[in-house]
Order: sequence, then C-alpha cells, then structure tokens
Amino acid sequence: MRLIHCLRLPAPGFPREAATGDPTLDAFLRDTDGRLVGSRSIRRPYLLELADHLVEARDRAIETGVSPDEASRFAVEAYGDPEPLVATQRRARARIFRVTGLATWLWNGVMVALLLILLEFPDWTMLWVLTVLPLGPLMGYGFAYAIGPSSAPRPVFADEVDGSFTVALRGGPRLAGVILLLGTAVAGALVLSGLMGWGLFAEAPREASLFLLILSGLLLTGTGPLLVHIEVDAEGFGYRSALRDVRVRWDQLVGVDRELGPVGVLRPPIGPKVRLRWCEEPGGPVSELRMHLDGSMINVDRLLAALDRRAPAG
Amino acid sequence: MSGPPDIDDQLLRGLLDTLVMDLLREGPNYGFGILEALGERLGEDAGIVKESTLYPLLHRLADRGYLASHQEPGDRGRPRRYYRLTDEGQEFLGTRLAEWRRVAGLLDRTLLRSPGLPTSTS
Repeated sequence: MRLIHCLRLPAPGFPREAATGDPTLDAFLRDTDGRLVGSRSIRRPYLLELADHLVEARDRAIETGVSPDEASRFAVEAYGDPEPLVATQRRARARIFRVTGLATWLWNGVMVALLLILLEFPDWTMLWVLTVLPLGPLMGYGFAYAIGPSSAPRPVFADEVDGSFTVALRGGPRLAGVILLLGTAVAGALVLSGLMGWGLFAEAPREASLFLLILSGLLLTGTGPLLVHIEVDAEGFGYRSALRDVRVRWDQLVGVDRELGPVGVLRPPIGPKVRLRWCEEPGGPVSELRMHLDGSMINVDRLLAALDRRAPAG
Repeated sequence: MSGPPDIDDQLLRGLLDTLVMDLLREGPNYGFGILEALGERLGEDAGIVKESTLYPLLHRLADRGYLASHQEPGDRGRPRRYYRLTDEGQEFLGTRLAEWRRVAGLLDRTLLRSPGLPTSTS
C-alpha cells in the first residue's frame, strides 16, 4: 500500500458520485483520485468538477462526429496532466496537516507528562503506552483530514449569498456536540466498565479516571473552535458561541488586531487569534471580543480579509 | 504546422488570473464555460490556457477570496461548480487592470519602439 493511502483514511475509496460510467474517463478520474490526499469529502469536490469537465469535453467532441471512444480519449488527452491540480490540493491540505498534527502532538506530550506526574511515574505496561501515546497524533490527524475539510480552497455550497458568508466548520456546533458526546460516552463507558471490574480498566480505575480527563481535554481543545459560529454580511459581523452572542455593525468597529502568543501557537487546531474592538455609540465604552480562529474553518481567510478591509485606518 | 510560440509561464500566470477574473465580471461561469469563453476572447492565442492549469488557477483565486463558488446541477444533471467574482475580487481586478495598463504603456513607450526589435520565431 502506498503511503499516500494512509492520508486518505477513513475513506480511501473513490467517491462513487464522481464516476461517469465511461471507462476511459473513470480510469483518469481514479488515477487522479489516487494522487489526492484527505478523506473522501475533501477529495470529492475536486473530482466532481473534473468529471463534469471531462464529460462535457467528451460530449462536445461527440457532437462533432467523433466516435464515443475516441471522444473520451480526446477529452482525457486534452485535459493533460492532472498534477497541477493535485499539487494545489496537496499544498492546501499540507499546511493544515502540518500545523494541526504538530500542535496536537505537542499537546499530547504535555498530557502524557502530566499523567506521568499525577501517577507518580508508575510502572506502565506497554499496553498503556500504546493506548495513550497515539491519541494526540490520531486526533490531530482526524481533525486535519476527516473533520475539518473546510480548508478546501473554496467556500462550500450556498455558503455565500449576496456578499454574506459564514465562518464555521461544515458540521458546525452540532457536529462538535456529537463528537464531544461520543468521546465522553466512550471514555465514560471505559471507566465505568473498569469500576465494575471488567474491560480495559478493570485493574486500574485511578488511571482510568486520568485517562478520561486527558481524553476530555483533548476533545475540548480539538472541538472548541467548532462551537463557534460567525456570520459576515454587508451590514456587519455576528459572533455566536456557547458563552457570547455578539453583533457588531461595521460602522461601530474601532479596531482589529492580530495576536500571536504561545497559546495561539500550541492550541490545536492552530489558528490566528483576533481581537475585535467596537463602540455601541460614538464616544461610548469600547467592547472587546477575542476570537480564536481555527485554520480549518471555512472562509477564515475571507473573514480576515473582510475585517482588514473594514477596520478603521490607524 | 505550429501556432504562436509559447509564452513564459511566469509571464502568463498574472495575465491569466486577470483574464479569468475579467471574464467573470460578465457573470458566474463554470470551468469548461470559462475555458470556452477565454478561447473565444483569445482567438489564435487560445492555446495559452491549458485545461490542467485553469482549475488550479480557479482554486487559487477562490482560496484568496477573489472568487466565490457554489455547486448546482449542470446540463446533464451532474453537479457543476460555478465561480463568480467577489467584492474583493472586483477590487483586486481593478488594481490589476491598472497595473497592466501601466505595463502596456511602459512597453509601448520603450521596448516596442526600440529600433531593430527582434521578432519571435516559432
């Protein structure tokens, strides 16, 4: 198995929706798909667009009197090498994988160190090491490749209407809730089974509790940005999270600052931190909102560009 | 048989970005449609737009926020991605067009008026 297939889990297979039913075109599409990285939902839009192009090119050739077989070959040859497209997709994914994977790995190191201290450097079995150590990288991998497809280089369907757009992950707060719920349920079940004297944690209920703590921490740090929903339109900017619900008109905006600190660097998934300042009334008190933006959010670059454009000079 | 000589990729990249955005000022369009429309505009130079480079270009422009896209069923019922120029794209296009006008004026005043200008052979 080629290494690239590991970057395509959990859905390495060719997306069926992209199939055209034409053997020549499908062979080309499968070959291109084989070079793309990321889960199926990330590769799908590239392949659908390419399939649409090839089918149209083939049908146009058929209209000129060419046989279907020749027309298919012509469409593929006319398209040429898919490498530029593949390279574009890889570059877009590589950035987020690097930062997310690295940040999550670092967090994992911190968590393991904490666990070692809390357990007073226990005599760990290999099973424990194998269980805990891969957690961070696995979660980083998951966020980078499976859950956060929004770094796909385009806004998603219906994402932008009349100059308005949202800044959130495709699944949004509901997906984050499901992830948290499932993660907590799994961890809780493991601990409960341990307390009842069977399963993985039967011999170590104290370790199991710490394991749950660490898993919850990783889940919270990973899913936090998913809980934020931001809307931008011609009138202003709306921010909704579990704790705040803010609406700022563009004419109320006083300043936009980027902040870069150790928290922003280490927090998985990594992303810029932005401080928004605004006045409800001219000369009134200045309100403030600090946003941790996730690099895998849909439209995060557009949001930053919109804020920069709207921020008062100076 | 040969068409016009190839143009350096670096020179072309900026030009194609501008051409595609200018085309999308007329309204949303999809990959193949953009290719055809560019072909009509470029005439005998249509060959400078290669299919394999058009889509990365569209993705790059969308990544920078100059284009927005949405998907809807095409003629054959297959999902089709349409691109349109965003407000940021309009602004960027205006800047780019102004730059190209300056470059064209500069070329016209200097290199293209040089005596003994070598002509390209293909």
